[in-house]
Amino acid sequence: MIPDTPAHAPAEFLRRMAGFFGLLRSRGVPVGVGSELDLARALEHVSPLDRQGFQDGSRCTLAKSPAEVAIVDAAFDAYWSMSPVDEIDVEEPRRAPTSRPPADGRMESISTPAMPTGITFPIAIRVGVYSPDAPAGGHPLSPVDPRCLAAMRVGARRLRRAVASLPGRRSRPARHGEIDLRRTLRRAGRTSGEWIDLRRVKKRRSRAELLVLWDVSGSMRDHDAVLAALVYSLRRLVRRTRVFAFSTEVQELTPALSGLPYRASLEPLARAIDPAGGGTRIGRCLRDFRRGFGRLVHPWTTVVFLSDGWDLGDTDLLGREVAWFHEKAHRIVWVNPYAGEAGFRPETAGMESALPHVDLFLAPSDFETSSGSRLANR
Amino acid sequence: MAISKVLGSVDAVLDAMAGESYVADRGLATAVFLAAKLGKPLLVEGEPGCGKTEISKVLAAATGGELIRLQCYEGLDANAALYEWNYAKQLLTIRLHERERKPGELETEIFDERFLLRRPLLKALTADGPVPPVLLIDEVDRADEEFEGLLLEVLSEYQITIPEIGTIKAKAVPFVVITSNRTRELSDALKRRCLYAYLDFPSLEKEIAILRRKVPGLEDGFALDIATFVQRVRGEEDLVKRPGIAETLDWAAALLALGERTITRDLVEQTLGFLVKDAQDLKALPSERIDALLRTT
Repeated sequence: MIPDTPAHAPAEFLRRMAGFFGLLRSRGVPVGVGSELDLARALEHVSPLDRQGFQDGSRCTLAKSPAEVAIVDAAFDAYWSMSPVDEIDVEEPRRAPTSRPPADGRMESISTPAMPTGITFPIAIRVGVYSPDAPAGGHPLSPVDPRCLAAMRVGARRLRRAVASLPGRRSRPARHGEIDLRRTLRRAGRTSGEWIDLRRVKKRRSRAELLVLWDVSGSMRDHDAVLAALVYSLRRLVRRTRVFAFSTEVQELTPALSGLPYRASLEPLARAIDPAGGGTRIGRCLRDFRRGFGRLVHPWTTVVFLSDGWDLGDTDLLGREVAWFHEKAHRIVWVNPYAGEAGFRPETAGMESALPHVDLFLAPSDFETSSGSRLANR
Repeated sequence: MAISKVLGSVDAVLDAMAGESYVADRGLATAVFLAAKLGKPLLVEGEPGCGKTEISKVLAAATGGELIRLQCYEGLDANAALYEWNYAKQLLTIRLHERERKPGELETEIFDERFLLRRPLLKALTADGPVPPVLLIDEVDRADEEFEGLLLEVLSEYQITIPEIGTIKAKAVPFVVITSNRTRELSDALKRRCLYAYLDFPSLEKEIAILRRKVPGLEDGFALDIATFVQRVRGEEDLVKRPGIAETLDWAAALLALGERTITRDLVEQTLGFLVKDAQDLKALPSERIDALLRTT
């Protein structure tokens, strides 16, 4: 309940405000002190007695993304209602995944509560088909050896060089481009100080933009640790990297990988990977990704698939979707955990559909070995 | 009109925007009002073509302030965003005075404000009109992350430091609108300094209201048909690029220019390029599917 006279009950109002910020933080909105002060200053201009104004003010000061807009609105409705504050669950309990198929064959989202808001931005796209192969719960990730992680970083740096599509800080001489004053001045020394020969430079292409799509289905379980290390290294070495996981649904992992050391990042990463079900439908997930996040694919984006290509869905659809990525993106890189094994041939139906559209087919070991690997040769 | 009157309350902002034919909801008006009151930049994200850039144009027109636009792109740097020395003018000055002046004197003279080329950010801070300008930093997600770092000092302190001259503080705090199409995540540091608004696709009623305001001469029934059809197209899940309000307005204007008053399959096929801007999406909407969409309209 919004207090009737906040000016006369500041302590109570502040206590409730602090509770509201706590609720938001528990739901994943990182409300900082700066945002709290912004809302406090906003309430000098918008009365908290005006519920709509209070909500609009909370939204524009506390939320910083469409997903957070939805969370702030839902939390506002729940918190500033007639219910006493003690009845609001600050920690939203997570339900375990279903182990038996529901009557309609579809599984309900287990982590995103229904939010009564006009914003329809997908927090996670959920295909949510029931699968008997669904893991019992959690997606634990074990750390790899520090030497392996260091090697992965070298490999990630090598990949960045191989697929660089964006200009970096360093420049190279070129016919067209910006005038290089330093070189032009030096050249002017040959012509009595007159600027006759203008030297020009262009930025070297040394930066990449990556979109990592990580298959977290049951068949990839044995390779989770290595692939998590690879994903972490790519995210650290290539600043413009967005990471999504998929099996029967697509979910973004980028926030879970931000700003933490390797070992500390494994726990939030494991938590973020939602074990909604097994039985990979890669084509369907890629189609959902294209619908929800297709705008992230640009002519300068390199798409990195981490998958064994085992697809229980429509493999023709998989081929069509990878073709779409190939058409839109700079490069398609496919990392298959089995590709490094002796005698391996990419003969799964999913892999056969995707391979014609793949520019670089690699094994995780290609990132670890310093020479002789396909990535090094590239 | 005085800026305090235009941005003096949420209702005043709504009226001012409506006066410039911008249909805003109360949430957006509150964000604009608070951004003006708190002196903070307004970060507007949303689908392309949903009116993000238009907000700054409307506010400039309503307040009478100058609109200063910085279009962001890959490789945008301080020289293009803040200031640059006018090297040609400096060189000419050196040549003109090299015989009569000592080198030290010349150096002081050529690093003067007269030799400064003001780029949009500096221009916004040094504007001395009666009304603070509206600074539009458009599509900031296209610029590099390093550029966001450059913005931090400008947006939090409203000042720019030029080593040869010193720190230049804003004469009047400009109203800053930053837009992003969310092609990449912006840094937390930048987001923290801004108030936030998200523009989604409009509802049917809002889209009809926009059509009525923006396309004069459009009959009510025809506006309803156009808006309903566009909403149906937008609802098609497999489209890569769903049409925004800008596309709806272009299409409505095109239909009006053709002298049409009803939507038919042939007409849609001939003019679909106004609405759908992706080759794959055009292929995904064959005649039969357009028929089905029209039947449901």
